[in-house]
Amino acid sequence: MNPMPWTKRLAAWAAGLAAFLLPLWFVPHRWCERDSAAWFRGDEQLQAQLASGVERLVTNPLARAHFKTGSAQFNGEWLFGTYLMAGFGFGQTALEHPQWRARHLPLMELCIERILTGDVRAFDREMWRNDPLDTLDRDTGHDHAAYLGYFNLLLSFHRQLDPNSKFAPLNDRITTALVRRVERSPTMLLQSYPAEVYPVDNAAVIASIGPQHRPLVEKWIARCRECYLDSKTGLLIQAVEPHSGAAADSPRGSGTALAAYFLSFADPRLSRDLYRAAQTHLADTVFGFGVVREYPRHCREAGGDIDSGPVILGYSVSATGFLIAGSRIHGDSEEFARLTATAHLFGAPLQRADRREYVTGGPLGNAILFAMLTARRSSP
Amino acid sequence: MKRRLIQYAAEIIGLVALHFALLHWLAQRDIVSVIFSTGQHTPRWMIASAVAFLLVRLLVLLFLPGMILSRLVMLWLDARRRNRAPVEEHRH
Repeated sequence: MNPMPWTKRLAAWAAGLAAFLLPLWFVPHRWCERDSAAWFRGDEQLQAQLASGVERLVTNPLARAHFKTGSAQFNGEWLFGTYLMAGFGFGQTALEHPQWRARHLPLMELCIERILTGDVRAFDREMWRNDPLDTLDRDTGHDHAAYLGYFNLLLSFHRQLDPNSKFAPLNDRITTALVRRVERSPTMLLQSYPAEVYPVDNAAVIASIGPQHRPLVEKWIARCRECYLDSKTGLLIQAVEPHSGAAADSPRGSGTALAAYFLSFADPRLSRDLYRAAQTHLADTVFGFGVVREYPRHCREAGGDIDSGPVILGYSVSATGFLIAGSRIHGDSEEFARLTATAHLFGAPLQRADRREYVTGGPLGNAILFAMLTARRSSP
Repeated sequence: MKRRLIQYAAEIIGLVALHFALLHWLAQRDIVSVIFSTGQHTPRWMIASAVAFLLVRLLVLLFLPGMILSRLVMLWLDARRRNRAPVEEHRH
């Protein structure tokens, strides 16, 4: 047999390469996003399966030692974040499917009770050297925004679901303290830890006091739009100087996407604007999979940190996961499908009996995805 | 050609089976969740297992469809060339 001429050999290789690349563009993301329409419309079976998975995680004893970030501080934050996000997930699903209230409200209360334990509060206490709940009635400059803001939002949400919430007195005490501290602050921002101020944490603070203190919320929203959004992109500045409020970090994807979620509880318009800014300036696709950059293109990129998670080729794990909520809240089914495809690819969901867990997520990742995939859709 | 088709099918089944076995095994031991939270205290074998799992998963979910199609195309082109070769040799 004669050897094949080089032109034919080249043509054969080109055909092989085309046959390799063609499915890469069209098949994997479609396979991975096959459940996205059901997630988007709030499919009962999918939500119940993930709720069961998260229920198993939060009803088993969890401690800081379970997390392996390499820092006791971050391990504590992740323990807190697990119960917090699981609590939001149970609350959101109880709201979306009222027949689940009897089961999911007690689970939400379990998460709140766990957050109240000394072990979960420890990360904040160690940073401030006093307890966030013991200092509610006095102002010593110890704001405790990281613990109090997020926790109070969960309490306010629980109260919305159950007006006779047994946590109402605590919710009122924290709200009073936060309102007093925001009014006292020249920047209208509270410190998460000594000399550390993050607008995203303050978005949770403001969302948590929203129902009862609308004028203060409106004032804060106006200040945020004026001072804490990047003028070029509308993205949220990640960190600011404690006294001047000047930017201390770039506008970033993880903070913007998470703030879009939390602010949906208090101000859907700012939430929508943050979502659109992230979608416009940070969202991208790779082979049809939705990914979100941590830094906008005009900013110098730093590596990943505890906020962004690993940053691979400029794309952030946290920002990509958090933006799922924004896309569902603001009715962007196409972005939601692209992002859930990525969550499926890297999250590796595993179905066991009636339970679904994302294998790479661990307790925090599963709790976050539970909250993001079931985020409440805002009315058009 | 038949032998190569069987070999390809065996490779595909092997890869998919490896992915599922790793998924279940690692999930049971909660090993792979360290991939997004690695710190200084994470044992290296856990990180290596998690990375290996993700590589296998990417291979199966991202690249396997293209690998299958490209191999089938190459196989078909090869078979066509072999079928044509005796005719062309006969003409000469």
